[in-house]
Amino acid sequence: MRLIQPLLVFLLLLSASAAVAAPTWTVLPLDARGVDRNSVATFRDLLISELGTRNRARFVDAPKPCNDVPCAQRAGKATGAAMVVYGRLSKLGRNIIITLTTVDVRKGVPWNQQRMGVNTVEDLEPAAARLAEAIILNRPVSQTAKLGMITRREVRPDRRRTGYSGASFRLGGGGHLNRPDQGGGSLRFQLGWWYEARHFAIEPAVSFRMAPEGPDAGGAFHVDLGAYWIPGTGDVTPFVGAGGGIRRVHETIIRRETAGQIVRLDTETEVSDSAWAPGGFARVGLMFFRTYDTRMTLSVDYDLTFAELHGSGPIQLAQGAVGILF
Amino acid sequence: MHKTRLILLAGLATVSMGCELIEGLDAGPLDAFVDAGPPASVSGRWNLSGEGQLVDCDDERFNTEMLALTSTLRIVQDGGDLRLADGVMLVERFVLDDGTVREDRVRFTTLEEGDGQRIVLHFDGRYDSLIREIRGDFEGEGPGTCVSSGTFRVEL
Repeated sequence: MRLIQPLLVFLLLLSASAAVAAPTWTVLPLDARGVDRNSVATFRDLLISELGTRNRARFVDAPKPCNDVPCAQRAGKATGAAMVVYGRLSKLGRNIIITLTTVDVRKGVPWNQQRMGVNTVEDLEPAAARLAEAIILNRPVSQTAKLGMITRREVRPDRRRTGYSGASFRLGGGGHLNRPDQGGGSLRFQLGWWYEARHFAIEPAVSFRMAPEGPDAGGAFHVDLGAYWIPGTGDVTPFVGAGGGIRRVHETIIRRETAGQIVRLDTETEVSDSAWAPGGFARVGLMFFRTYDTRMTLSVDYDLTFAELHGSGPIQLAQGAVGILF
Repeated sequence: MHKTRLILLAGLATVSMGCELIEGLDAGPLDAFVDAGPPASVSGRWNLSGEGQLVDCDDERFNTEMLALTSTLRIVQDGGDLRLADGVMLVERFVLDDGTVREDRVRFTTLEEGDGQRIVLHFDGRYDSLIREIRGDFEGEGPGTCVSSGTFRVEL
């Protein structure tokens, strides 16, 4: 108990001294030129909050706006603030221009001046955070851009009118779903042209499927057109789609026959069959490493070709692929 | 005197023809062989295998260059003759016919009938007593119009 009491006194003195040591700031009411006054008042509140979060300063209120440094210095002396922020929000066409000046009251000189433009009232919120960061760090507001603090005006515009297009390559493999005799895996290579708008894409493509060397070989050549829905616009987003086209499919099987029971004759014969046939596919996948120039995909397909080879019904395949879109 | 010469010439001609006939037997088919030694002993369990081709089949499924032949037979030898050991046959009819051994040369024919099929195979090979194997060629007919040919091996 004898030790705790001095410790508490020490902590109280420490916190008191810290409170005394915290600088006092004030943000003067901002001048509004063509901008809704309520929005301007809200922006001021946001700016005070963002400044306080960063510099732990004590903020005092001020009665009226200023338009120059002497006025701001007088306001600072009147309120006891060491630093005074004043400025205005002006409408210019569709844009709102924010100008802020921070004055060192003791020296009577501007500490820094910041300017930023936004094109929607909603962007005043990230603008408040960006300007507060710029004031505290004393650096241009353009250097404070980071994820979550970007205004619409700074975002690269969508290319939805011109679209986005480029070559696409996919490499994958899979196997038959309904042909146990063709159960060996096959490789698939696809070359296409990917055209993408904001939430959808189309892709004409040709692909080759071939089974590795073996007794039961098969393959196909596809000319397909696919359409996809892309729900997200972020760096990683799923996509789903479907398509169809015309295919040339071929299969070679080993036919085995037996004759005789005591002396048994076993025959093996390679039999090939091929056909042109229509077909379709459904695809679900994930886009990642998504930039304006490239993106990668992981996808899984269900593929159906309406061909009858060796007397067996439609060819059903399950395939996976990794792709890159330029 | 003249008559005696004619008789001698006729005798020489006869002897000469006989010698040619014997040489011809040596080079000819097995039936024409003159036994020069005892037949090899090849009785026992035969593991027969072979490979070849099957052509001219009316049922195209059987036409192939990859014909495999397998069988297991129990063979009894009686001097130079071969026959099947008694046993249960799963087919309507299976016959080992013309089974003969002349020194190391082994010939036999199998005939199998069942399920509406008739398969005849003629085997002709030589026995190697060192490795106890018969190796040779086979040819045959069936099933259907198929004609078969190839090589075979019997492990004793």
